This record gives sequence, C-alpha cells and structure tokens, in this order.
Amino acid sequence: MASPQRVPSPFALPPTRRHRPLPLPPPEEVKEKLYHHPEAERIRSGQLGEWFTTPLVGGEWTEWGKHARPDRIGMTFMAINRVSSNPEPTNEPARRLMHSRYIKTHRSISPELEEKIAPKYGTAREMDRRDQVWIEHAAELTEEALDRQMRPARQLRWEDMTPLPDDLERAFDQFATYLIQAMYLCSDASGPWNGLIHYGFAEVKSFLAYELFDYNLMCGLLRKRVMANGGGMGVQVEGLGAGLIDICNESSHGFVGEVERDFSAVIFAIDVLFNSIMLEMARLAQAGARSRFDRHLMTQLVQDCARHVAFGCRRIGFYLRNCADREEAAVKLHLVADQLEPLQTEHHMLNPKVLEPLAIMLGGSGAATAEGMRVVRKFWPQFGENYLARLDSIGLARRDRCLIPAQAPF
Amino acid sequence: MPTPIDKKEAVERLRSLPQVKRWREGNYEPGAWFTSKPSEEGGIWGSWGHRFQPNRRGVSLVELNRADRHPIPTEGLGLLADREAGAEADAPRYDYPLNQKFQCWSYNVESLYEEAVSRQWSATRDIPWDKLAPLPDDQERALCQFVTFLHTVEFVPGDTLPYYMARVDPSFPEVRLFMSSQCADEARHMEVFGKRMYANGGGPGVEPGAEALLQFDPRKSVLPQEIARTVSNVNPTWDFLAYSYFVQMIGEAVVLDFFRFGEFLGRNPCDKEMFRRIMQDEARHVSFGTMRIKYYLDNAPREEREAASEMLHFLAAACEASGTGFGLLLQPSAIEPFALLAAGSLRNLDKGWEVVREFWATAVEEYINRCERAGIPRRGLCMLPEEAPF
Repeated sequence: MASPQRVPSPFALPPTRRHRPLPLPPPEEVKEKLYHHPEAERIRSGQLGEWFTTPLVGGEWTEWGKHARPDRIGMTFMAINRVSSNPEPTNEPARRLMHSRYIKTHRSISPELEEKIAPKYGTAREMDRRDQVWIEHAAELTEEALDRQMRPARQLRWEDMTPLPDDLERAFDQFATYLIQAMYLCSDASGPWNGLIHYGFAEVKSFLAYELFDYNLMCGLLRKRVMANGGGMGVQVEGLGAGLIDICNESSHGFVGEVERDFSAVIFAIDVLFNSIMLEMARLAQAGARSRFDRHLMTQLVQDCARHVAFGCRRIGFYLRNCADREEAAVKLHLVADQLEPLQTEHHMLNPKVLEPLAIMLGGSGAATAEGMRVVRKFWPQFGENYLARLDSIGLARRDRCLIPAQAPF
Repeated sequence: MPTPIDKKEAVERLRSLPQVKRWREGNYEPGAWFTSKPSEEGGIWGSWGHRFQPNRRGVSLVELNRADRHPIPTEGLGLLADREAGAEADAPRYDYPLNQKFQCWSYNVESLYEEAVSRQWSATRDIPWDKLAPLPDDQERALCQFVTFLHTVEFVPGDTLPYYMARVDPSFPEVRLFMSSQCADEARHMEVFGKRMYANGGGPGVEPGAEALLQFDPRKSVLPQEIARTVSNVNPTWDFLAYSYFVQMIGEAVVLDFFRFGEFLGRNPCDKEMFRRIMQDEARHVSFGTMRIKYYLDNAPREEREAASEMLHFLAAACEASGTGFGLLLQPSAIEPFALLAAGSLRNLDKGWEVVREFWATAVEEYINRCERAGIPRRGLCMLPEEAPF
C-alpha cells in the first residue's frame, strides 16, 4: 500500500529561522559598559527618573487621581473605563507597538523616531483602526468571557461520567474527535491574529486570548472524557476545514509581507459561520448526551460557541457600520460566505463522521440511527435559520443567496 | 471573483452526494468509523478500551497518560485530530513544523497544564479590590508606574505563542493546551495591571520605555548593533527553542523574580494577592520553558543537540550582554519604582537600592541555576556581573 501523501500543515505561517552565532565582546568589556550604563550611573547619583520628577498634572504622568470603584461584579473593564480619559480606542493611528490606550504617549519622541521604533507590518500596529478590530460593548463581552470560562475543578463532576454501551460510547467518542479537530482549526486559524491587534484594543485582545483558551480547554476535557470511559479517539474527519482554511490563508497571506490582511473574513469564517455550525451541533449533542456528565460538557460547549458567535456578529456588525466603504465590505463578506456555505454544508454539516455519531446519540443506540437522523432532519432548518437571523442582525442580508439548504437534503 | 453557485444547483449537488443519496434511500447504516477496528489492529478507528477511574483530582493528564498503554510517540502522526485518533488510509499526513516530540515537549507539561487549569483566576472577582488602602503618594506613584510598565509588556507572549501552537503537531495536545493557558494568563495579567493603575488614586504613569529610548546612545551600546538587533524584538519567526529561552526562561523569569519580592511591592492585601497570583502563573511559564529546553537537549539527535546548544549559548551570551530580559533591571520604569517600593518611602531610598542590589545578585544566581537545570550551563560564562553595576 502506498504511504499517505505528505502535505504542508493547514495554516500558512511564516518560516522560522535559527540565530546564527556571531562573535561577542569579552565579558570584561560587557561588564565595564554595564557599569557605565546611563541608568547605573543615575542610580549611583541618587536621582530618580522622569516618572518621578514629572509633574503629576500637566507633565508626562498620564492621569493622577483616578479612582475606579468596583461595580457589582468586581473591578471590571467597565469600572475603569468609567474613570479613564480613554474609555474607548480612537481612530488615531497607533504610534507605538506595545502601548495601551490608557497610557499617554511621551511628547518628546519625534515622529521620525516613532517610525523607527514602530514598524507597521508583522506587528501589533497592523490592526489599529476601530473598524478593523473594535466591537460595541467590548468590555462587557470580555468580562463575560472571563466570568463564564469553564472551571473544570469546580464545575465538572467526573464521578457522573457513566459507562455507556459500546455503540453509544463509540458515537460519543467520534463526535468528540470531530469537535477536537474543529476547535484546533479555530484555534490555529484565529490565534496568530491576536499579535497583529494593537494594545489600544485591550478588551478585544483579552477576549481573543480567552477564546483561544476556550477552544483548547474544551479539547483537553473532551480528550480526557474519551480516553477515560472505555472508548478512545475516533476517526479524523476529512474535509472539515473545507473553504475555511483557504479563506484564512488568503486573508493572512501566511502572515508574511507588507500587505493588507483581512481580519474580518477570518472572523466571519471562524466566529460567525463555523462556530454557528458547531453551536447547533453541540445543541443536538446536548440533547443526545446519554449521561449527565456528557450533557454538562455539551452545555458548556454551547455556551462557549454562543459567546464566540456573539463576538463574531458584533465584530462584523461594527465593521460594516464603520468601514470606509460599506458596500465593498459587504460584497467581500458575501463572497466569503458564498465560498464557505456550500463547502461547509457538504464537508461539515453532511459529513457522515459528524452526522452519524450524532444520530446514534440522538436515537439512543446504533440500531436507532434512523430515529436520530429523523431528529437531525427536523432540526436542520435551524442551522440556516439561526445563521441567517444573525446575519440579519449584523446587516448582511443573505436570505436570497444563502447556500445552506433551508431543509435537510436527505 | 468566484461566481456564486445557484441555490437550486447547490441543493442538487448536495442531494447527489453518496451519503446523502444513501440516507434518502433510507439506508442509515453508519460508515466504517462505526465498524472499523482500532488502528493498532489495522482499522481506521483510533484506539479503544481506555478506562480511567476518576480520583479526587478528577481526571488529570498526568495520570491519564501514565495509564495509557500507548506511549507518546517521538514523531507526530500528522493528523488534524488528537493523538491516537485514526484516519482513512488515503488521508494526507500534515507536515507540522514542530512534529518531533523533542522539538516541543516539556518534562512537566502535563502537570503544569493541570495546575494552569485549576488555578485560573479572575482579575475582576478574585482580587480583594475592596481591601485596597490609600498609600502615601510616592508609594502609589511607584506602584502605578511599575504596573504601567507591566501592563504593556504582559501581552507579548500572548501575541506570539499562538503561532507556535499552530506549528505543533496535534499528536502533542498537552503542549498546545499549556500554551493556550499561558495566553489566557497573560491576558489576565495585562488586565489586572491595567485595573490596578486606576484602582487606588494613582492612575497610569509615564510611558514606559520612553526615557530609556530618549537616553539611548548607540556609542554606549554594550553590543554591536547588528548583534543587538538579532536578540531584540522577539517575533514569531524565531526558532521555537530560542523563543522559549528568550520569553519563558529569561523575560518571564526576571519578572517572576520581581514578584517574589512581593512583600516589598504589596502594601495591602489587594496588591499582595495580585502579585501572589501572578507569581504562580509566571512560575508555571518559566518552568515550562526551562524544562522544554532541557527535554530538547536531552532528546534531540546528537548533531541537532550540538547545534541547538551552540545557538542557545550564543543567545544567552547576547541576551546577558545586551541586558535583554535583564534589561528590566536597568529599565528606569521598572527598577526605580521597585526600589522606592522596597524602600517604603523616599527618605529610605538608599535602603531600597540595597534591596535591589540584593535582588540583582539573587536574580543572576537564579538565572544561572535555571540555565544549569535546562542543560545550558552558564556558570563562568555568564556576561552579567554577579553584583549590580550600581
């Protein structure tokens, strides 16, 4: 038998390089220079720097005298934004790399120096416009993401994990294998983008970091569940990333080069569409789960996906309302959807390695797959309807061109 | 521009898919995934028969892996799903850039991940913000400047780690999981420092780094510029080993050392709790990086081990010399507020600098010990002075 074809890993990333050793100055010279370092000399002189000498008001100190009070949840982003002079990012281009919007930029740094210290591409300055990154109520959603993050030690009762008949165990394990693969796709596709988002958008960066952790935390829990209850990992689902991988790679340009990258296409693909499908699948699996433990896992997954979808919808909605050319932006997103919907319907929603285990879980046994399929068929219209309702709320009407069939094609 | 497919045509195409046709004919017999043997018996199913009795810790990856009859492979399988998943015979295999266990594994990754999960906390709820007490102005100012600095640097690993996660073969899920937990940790740290800036009357301070930048004189630079450039600006094109050394073993380790002096930094239960929790998180990150380098050097083929070791020693020497990582110890926005916090008041600043000098010596010694643990002995080679240069 021929050995399997080798292909590059799905998501294009910049190649890595290894540092080449170069001759270094002798340690004595280094120590001598460190001794004469400007900071070392100042310390010896007993002085403190500008952070201490600048006037608290009218100097380089950002904001003295600010006193945020915890709200009913705790010290939220909302609480600090209420007192901050910069409660929201502006559309001013970022002038630094690692620089929060909460901190004033130093007035003595010249524009020439700024250009040198803050290259635009491949850095957190690439995405520094509100229409590229921001969402309404970012603080609230980020707080929710942290608050609802799963705490397995507190929330999961492993003792509720129940041995299942082989057919049901196999079905659950196959479904979990699909979910793990799906969440790795989301994590790999969206994770690197966080490094291109400016620090002025602290809430969005935090949200995306928590989203990344949500995916992986759930993968870890599903792996444990699968490897502990008598079964094991199932079969990889071919084609699950159909359309999605191409769109993400086209949008990122492999994260190489000085080019405009399209974060909105990725958010649409991952958070709006792919997470929408996972959300509906998880809802069905929640209904079909055969133990309290499994149901609890699926309930958590439903919550996670719903939050990711909510973020995606708010992001795309904000983008469409605030970008320079709404019409052009909408056309581009429609094209992304045109490409994704049929491929995801075929390779994800109608994939036997996804739908059949789900049907067995819903039917209650391997012999009752037909009954499970009947449930899926009945539920099917919700896939498209919920997705379209979300797009309506975003302002991207696709009812007349959506390529996800309104009724199950079986 | 691709032409949108006609809706009717799209439905017809879906209806003609083999599985859909089968279902339409009322044949719901599940496919080979349901009937196949596990891959070790020649089938496409991944693996079967894994049982683990949850204990009081629930199910931990440490114990789960120990109980698994299949060892963790030295080479990733190149699948899109987790280790021990199966695949159709004709499914392609993906060449993940980090597909050898030695390239990504850390000796303690499973236990560190479990700790990361069990110790997740919330900057909003888990810090006793109500226990903040007003500080003397100089102390509040010092603390706010210190956290202003930390607020802007904490996200660096979160910006870069996801690139490495996506390069790791999914056969090593533990590594991916741990790195994702670090991303969440760093986001929380950025958050908590940002919140602390505003919580007690100080507010965000002076732009960190600005003064050092304005004072920068290339003639006084410790390293020639072409070398200094190669070891600054960590970015996702760095070799993963170099990245772990730079970010997890040096940068975070020095920050960790700062937090170990939390008694000086925290003057009330709120600040103490904040630094204590962050210290726990940072300790995990440093431990992962250190034990990862050790695993690499213990397990890489001889030629690769030698090349990696040479690169690490170069990087270490350059980082030590340029003050990268240790630059925090000569960064006005970090070290001066630290000294003032340690002093307790401006009139005791000399005592604060004494503490910083002691801190310097401890940090260098800790670093050298850590390098030894990682398998890159720097004792006698380290460019950093053992005593503070001030």
